[in-house]
Amino acid sequence: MDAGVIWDLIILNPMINIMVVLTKYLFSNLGLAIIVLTVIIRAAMYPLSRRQLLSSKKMQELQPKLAEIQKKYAKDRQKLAKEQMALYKEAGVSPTGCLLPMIIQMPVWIALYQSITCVLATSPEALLNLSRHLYTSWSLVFDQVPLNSQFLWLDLGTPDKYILLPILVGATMWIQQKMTTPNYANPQQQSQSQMMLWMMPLLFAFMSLSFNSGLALYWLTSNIISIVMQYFISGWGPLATMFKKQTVTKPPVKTISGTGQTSQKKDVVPLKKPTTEKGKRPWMFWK
Amino acid sequence: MSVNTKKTFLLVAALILSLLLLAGCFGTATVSRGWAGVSAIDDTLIFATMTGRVYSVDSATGTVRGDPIKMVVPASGGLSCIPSCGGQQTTAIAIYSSPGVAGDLVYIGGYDGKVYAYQLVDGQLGDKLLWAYPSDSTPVSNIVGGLIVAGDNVYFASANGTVYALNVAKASNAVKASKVPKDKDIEVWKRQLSNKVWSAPAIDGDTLYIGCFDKNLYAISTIDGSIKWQFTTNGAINSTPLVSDGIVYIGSYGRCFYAVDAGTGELIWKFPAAEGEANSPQNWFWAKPLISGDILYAPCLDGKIYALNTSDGSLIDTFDVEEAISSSPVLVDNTLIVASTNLAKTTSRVYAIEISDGSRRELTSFTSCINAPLFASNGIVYIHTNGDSFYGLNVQNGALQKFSLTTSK
Repeated sequence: MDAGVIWDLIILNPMINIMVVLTKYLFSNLGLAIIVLTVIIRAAMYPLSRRQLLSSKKMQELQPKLAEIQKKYAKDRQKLAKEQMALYKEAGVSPTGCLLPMIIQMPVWIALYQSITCVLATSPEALLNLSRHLYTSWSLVFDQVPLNSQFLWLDLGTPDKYILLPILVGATMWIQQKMTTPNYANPQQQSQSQMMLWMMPLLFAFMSLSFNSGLALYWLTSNIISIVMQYFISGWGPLATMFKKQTVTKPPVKTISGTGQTSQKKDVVPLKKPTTEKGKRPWMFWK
Repeated sequence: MSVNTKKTFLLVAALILSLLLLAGCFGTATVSRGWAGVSAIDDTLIFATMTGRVYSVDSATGTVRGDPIKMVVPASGGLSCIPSCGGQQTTAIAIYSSPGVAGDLVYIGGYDGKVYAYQLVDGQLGDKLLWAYPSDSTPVSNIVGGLIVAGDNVYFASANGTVYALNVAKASNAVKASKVPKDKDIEVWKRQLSNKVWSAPAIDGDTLYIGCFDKNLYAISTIDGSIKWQFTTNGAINSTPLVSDGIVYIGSYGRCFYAVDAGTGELIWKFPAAEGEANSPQNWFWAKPLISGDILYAPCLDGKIYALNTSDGSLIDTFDVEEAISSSPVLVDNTLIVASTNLAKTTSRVYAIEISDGSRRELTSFTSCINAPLFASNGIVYIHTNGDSFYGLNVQNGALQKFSLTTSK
């Protein structure tokens, strides 16, 4: 049995058949089925996603210390690596800790992506191909296909002609990225992260323009779930600073009034916008 | 910008560019390539390839007559707007329906949503387009099912659920008078159905029969396009109906096969008669059935051909070819020629089944699927594989001839 057959048997076929059944019970609405299946899979993957988010959160918290070490041992790479590993060990994090859960989840995302493409069956070849994935013992999947691809204003088998969905995909991905992108002390790292913050949402928005909107709907749902999960695990993160006046709070200063009473006063000082070398702002990565 | 930053920027740019290329070139997961079957006029065979070329071929010698017609449309999407970056300015029109032929005219239904008419002069396709419908740049919708010519009209359906009747005689007269036929002048009628139509129509007398994705089989008047009756099955219909002796035979995605009274739309029988019966079909009925005497042969995607008694639908025999039958079989003398396809491995085999004793022999095999309907003429079965090759298979001696589609230029 080759890998393709095993992949179909264990991952792809169950997902396709579940999606067809969900469509039947969700008012013959494929759009709802895509949303519900994405939610179910994200819920099933929650322990892994949580581990990944917590790990990346810990990594974020270590950034100041890492920067310090990098600065201290800039000329001794061996010592730098040793110190970094010691720091990771002390904090109980693994630099690959957020990668492993992501890698484990990858096949599921790929299968979900493939199953959406497969059930949409936009061409005669695709519809014919779908026939080999259906469970012969589930009679209801046979009379349900081909599925109705209309959802709200969308034909899920074609790109959104009003461009609303690609914009939503790009915007939600940007929010999600922003919530997880730490402010690096290292200007180079900072410019890289800022580049990714913009490039990935733009890229997915562009792909949503070219791909069928069923896939874009899956990306949008997935992004929203990620935002919610991220919020409950580590809050709004760097996104929060965008919407409130950035402040630093000085330690309370004791003052003695003429009456001899003491009072505590907080001095709120507006924070200067973070700058990198040569006065450039971190988001101006192109300069 | 430091050297490291430049490197990072280049790396990210390369990643993004490769993803953009993927998005541009593979905007949809499955590319529509077409699978037109072969048609014939006298000694001329008409081949429509997956690269949008239509050839006229001498059936006796297998040589191509003249240059092929190139059916292309301006490219759209992806990087098509940048020829220097590998984008194409035109793309081939996918052709799923076997060319319709009548007299010296050849009609081709394109997946781009247009019907094209060409003339055959001395067995050679004229490179000049006679007319196209619609004549403007607004196509109807994807044409997947075939076209059928009956009397002065050509009938076809499109994926937006509309069935069309065009008066080709009027169109030809307009062309003879050096005029471009106007759409409104040649439209006899249009009938909107409630879902996609990928089925080819069948005509008997003044009635057109066609299946729809809305699970209905429709009987439509060829005179005015009115619906005479509709019969609801348990699944979408993709295959072409077969009309014989006042009965319409049709299979559905619901894994049932039906015999319906052509005049009234009443059910005569269905196979299997009850759900869960032994020997019940396990997949969709996709290809067109055929009939010989009082036996109907219904090919199924479960890899079996069900031989049914035309009078009551009882199962006479089952011929198992093990892999999906998506290509309509043909009958040559008393031999059933069936192409089976392994959709996962994309390979195919062609079998000869003797209907007298059910014996099966493999004639040939291919390393690509066969979805195009088989076509038989003078003991030769013509095959169009998904590898876009055309073959002639002699049923008697099993000799296989591959057509070399090269032209003088």
